[in-house]
Amino acid sequence: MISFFKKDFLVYWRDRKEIIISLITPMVLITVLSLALPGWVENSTKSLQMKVAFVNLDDEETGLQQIRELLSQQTLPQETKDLLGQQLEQSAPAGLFKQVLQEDSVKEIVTLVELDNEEALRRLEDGQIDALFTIPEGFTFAVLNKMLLNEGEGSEILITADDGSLQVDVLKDIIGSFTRTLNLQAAIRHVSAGNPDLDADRLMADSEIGGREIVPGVKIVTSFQYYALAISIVFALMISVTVSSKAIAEKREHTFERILLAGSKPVNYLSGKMSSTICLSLAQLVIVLLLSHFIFGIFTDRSWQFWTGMAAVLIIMSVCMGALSSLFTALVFRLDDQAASGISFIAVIIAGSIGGSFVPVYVLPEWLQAAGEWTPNGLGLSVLLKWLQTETINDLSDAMLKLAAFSIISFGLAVWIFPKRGRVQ
Amino acid sequence: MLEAVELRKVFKGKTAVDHVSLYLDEGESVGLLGPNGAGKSTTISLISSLLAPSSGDVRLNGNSVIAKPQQLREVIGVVPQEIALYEALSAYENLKFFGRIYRLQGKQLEMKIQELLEVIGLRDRQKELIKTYSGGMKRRVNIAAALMHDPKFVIMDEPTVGIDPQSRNHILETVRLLNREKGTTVLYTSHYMEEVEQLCSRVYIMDHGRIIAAGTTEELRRILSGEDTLLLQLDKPDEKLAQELRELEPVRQVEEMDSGLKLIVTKQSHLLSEVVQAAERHRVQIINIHVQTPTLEDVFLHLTGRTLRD
Repeated sequence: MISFFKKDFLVYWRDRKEIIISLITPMVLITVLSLALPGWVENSTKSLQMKVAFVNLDDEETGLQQIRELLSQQTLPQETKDLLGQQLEQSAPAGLFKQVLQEDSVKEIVTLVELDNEEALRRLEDGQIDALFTIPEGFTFAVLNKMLLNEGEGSEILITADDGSLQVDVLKDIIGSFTRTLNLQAAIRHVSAGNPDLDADRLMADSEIGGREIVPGVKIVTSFQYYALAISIVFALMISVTVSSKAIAEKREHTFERILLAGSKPVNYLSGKMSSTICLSLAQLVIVLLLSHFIFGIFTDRSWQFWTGMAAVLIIMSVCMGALSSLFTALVFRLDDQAASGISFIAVIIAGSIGGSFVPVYVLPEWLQAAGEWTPNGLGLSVLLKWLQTETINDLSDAMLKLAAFSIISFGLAVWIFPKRGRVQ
Repeated sequence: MLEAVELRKVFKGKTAVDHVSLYLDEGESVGLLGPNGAGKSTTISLISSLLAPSSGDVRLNGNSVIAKPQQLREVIGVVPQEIALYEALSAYENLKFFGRIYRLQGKQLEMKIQELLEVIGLRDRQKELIKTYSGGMKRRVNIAAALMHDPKFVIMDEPTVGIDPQSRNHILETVRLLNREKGTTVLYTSHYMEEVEQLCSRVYIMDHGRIIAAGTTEELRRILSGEDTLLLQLDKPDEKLAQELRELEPVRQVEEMDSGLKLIVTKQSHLLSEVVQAAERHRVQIINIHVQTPTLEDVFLHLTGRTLRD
């Protein structure tokens, strides 16, 4: 296999035209597209926008009434009872949560519609909404009972969504932030109730609900970052086609016949294509991204964890490109040259388009965005964009598993469709 | 012994090779002659296991190798008509690659590469890329690549097409060396009759997918033992004269050439006066008349009605 790798690597490496295309062209495109179309990418909230249903199963008035009755039965000083009674009116948690959702900073991301449970579930199923918040039955009583009287188990706002996307993570963060603030306020009230020196109102004012903190850790993707990733990935995809197209010359010039006569197995031949494409596409990705970084400063102030995660994705993506190259090579030997080239070229154009390599995925319809994540370049780009924004390891591992599965299936398919006895019929 | 038995290959309803049988005894040098499109290259692909025949068999030492060609592939070297090399690699790198896939390694591989580079006369230019070589140099490396594993049988498909005389002589010398000094069995395909006459002890003549004659060069020449070849050098071409000569009783074949006409005529026939009279009638001047014994080229013309380069 090493002989095949070396041969395929050198044949590509010494093709100066291909080297220039795979290194210079991406740099030019990254510069031009990033400067010409920054608005397509740098809308910080566009990528997070979502429609969310608000389903309230709770009877807030009944809950408040139950708490009032409980308070009156407590053996607390009358002064404390009065204070808690006043706070009760301002502390209805479902109402507070709704207020958070109606703040401007949240409205940029979340379009809220109030629905009953059945309708909300139906719309979620139809894809008309992305998620739903459910305030469960008895929520007000359970939360206030825990907050004010430190009794019971409390309650939780529920999120229902189809998949674990970045948007869902953001919704979880909104609830998390709301819950933390509510807990903090409850703690302050508990402490201040027994300590007249503490000014509970001032302390609570410092713990405002809402604001930018609702999307913690999500960074804006710049147009240079987007296009550096998108363009370098699509050019890596093109390397898989170029390496496989060398097989046309091997077929036409009968070098492949020599290989057959030497008794080489198809799997060795295809492994050569795959391994050389892995190295070439990885080198191309690394060079273009590092050049972009040093010229445009696209990944400044990033942690070692970020670079490690990105390196892992680039490696597995290169393996994918290698597997694709072996599949395209097998097509050359299964079909006639023009048909094989045509199929490979069309596959790259389609994958590039729906995978967000030519225009940002955000401008594509949702179904095309979903289809794009079934392409290796689309999935790779999507996971790298998420990684840029959140550095969440779970996002990486899922996508890397999918890319690994894609590589295994593609290489297996290549070996399967390669002419069995290697005869040139 | 390597045998082809009643080989037949049909491509999309068209028969390219039609019941071809031939054999190669160890140490022999055998020629396969035929014009372009005669089916020589397809026959070679069938014999070397690169194509599966529609019917017929290929046998190595009596054993069929159609179903399991590996045994044959280990002992056969094929020099294709095309330059089957990687243009982006040097001669050394090409030979190293092909040697490695034949499982040669280390010193053995290095020695074999240098030995073959010496034989083909390119040792001092081994590091240059193939794309910088002349056509003749490429053809020499093309041969060396087929010899990396010391094959017992070498099949050469028109190895001297379109090259300079120096490279051509080098290739012919290499084939002689292989066959006479190393005892390699050679099947040499060409449409250069003189190459086959120089190199081969036996010849198969092929046309329209069939073997139409076979034997030693002497045996084949004897096909025309009752005939002579008459070369007429004329001052101008004349189609009507050629037509009139074709109708004369002793004339078997008339071929128009650049300088005049070639006639294959019955031996001892006294038709010179008739030829001269016919030329006068058509106002064509005969500059020279030459009578020669038949060559393989004449045999081919006699058998097929056309020349090898048609």
